[in-house]
Amino acid sequence: MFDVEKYISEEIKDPKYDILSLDKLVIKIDIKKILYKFYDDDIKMIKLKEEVSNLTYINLFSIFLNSGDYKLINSAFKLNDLLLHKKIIDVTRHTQNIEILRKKLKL
Amino acid sequence: MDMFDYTLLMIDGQPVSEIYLSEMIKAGYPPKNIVLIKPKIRNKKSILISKIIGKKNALDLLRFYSRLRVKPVKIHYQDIIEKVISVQKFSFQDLQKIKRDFKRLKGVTIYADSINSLEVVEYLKANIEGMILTAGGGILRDEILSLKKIRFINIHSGLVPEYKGSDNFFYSLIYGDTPGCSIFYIDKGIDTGGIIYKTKTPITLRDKGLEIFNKSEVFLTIKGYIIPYLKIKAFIEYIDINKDNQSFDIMNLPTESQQTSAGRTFYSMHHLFRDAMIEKIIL
Repeated sequence: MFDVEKYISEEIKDPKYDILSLDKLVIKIDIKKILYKFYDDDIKMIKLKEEVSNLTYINLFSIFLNSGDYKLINSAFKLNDLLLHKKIIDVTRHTQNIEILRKKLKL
Repeated sequence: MDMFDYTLLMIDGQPVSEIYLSEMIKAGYPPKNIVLIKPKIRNKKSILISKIIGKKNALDLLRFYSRLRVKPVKIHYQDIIEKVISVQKFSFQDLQKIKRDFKRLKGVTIYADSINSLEVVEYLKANIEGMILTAGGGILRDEILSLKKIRFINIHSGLVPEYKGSDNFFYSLIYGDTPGCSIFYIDKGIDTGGIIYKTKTPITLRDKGLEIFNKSEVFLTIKGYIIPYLKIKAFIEYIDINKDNQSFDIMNLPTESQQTSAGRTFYSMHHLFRDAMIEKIIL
């Protein structure tokens, strides 16, 4: 079973940027617009329909932002919108994030 | 069955459909059947109008009326196309002839909500056999994929397995790769079918003077017109190479299996990401 919150909390402390696993989380953000706590080992089937915490979403945004990968940075833009929609962040923070993302793309 | 017999499944209002039909006719490979999917008429006023003047006329009238209500935005399609690919290769005048070709080739119109609608499935089941070339319409679901005696071919704007999903032409350029097209029979996965043909399309957007246009315009033109043009040219290239092969059977073309876990699946670009990337790849 894949523990999303555990994975993201470990990743934020010691980033490995495992594209294979992160790519599988991208579809949850880009298409499903929701991230649950547990999936099967393949990160496909939902094992527990309990949404992750706000902190997990914020940490995932940070991981995508700092990944240096274009696909993940695209997802960071979408996750930023999702954070605003879920009222996890406010408009000011949302705008600040956009500027940070834009700067990342210019590098 | 003639080895190049096929049905073209078109979606109303999508330039990809018109471009496919236009280029296949120009190349000497017109479809045996054309099936055009148009949206259903929904609201009460529209249903009443359609009962009075007919469904087709009602749709045309509604479209004309909606265009009057919305302030038109001028998009420099032809100018952008001219800068990216030679205008001699592609002409809007060819697309304008499509309506005449549609009638001449006895195209059939089906009113349905989507390519996977029951109306489409039932029509195809009752009337069509053989290869269907899809020109837009999105992902095909099980109901349509499981139709007997039919196989669907998709021309994908990315080199699989590395580039699957959406906006692959752009992602190829973003990652510094050469864009390309892949042709395969459609299966249940996203761009995972057995590969019939792959070809690179060495096209660049750099130093073409595209910076004078709005980034959305550039994106829409490339996505709406140039990519479909490149895709259908890839399919024509494949047919040209194989047309003299006596064992060529469009329903059973030799395919190469994909390692579906390889490569990446991309999703549509966020508009801000897209604008930043368009700027990056055109300068």
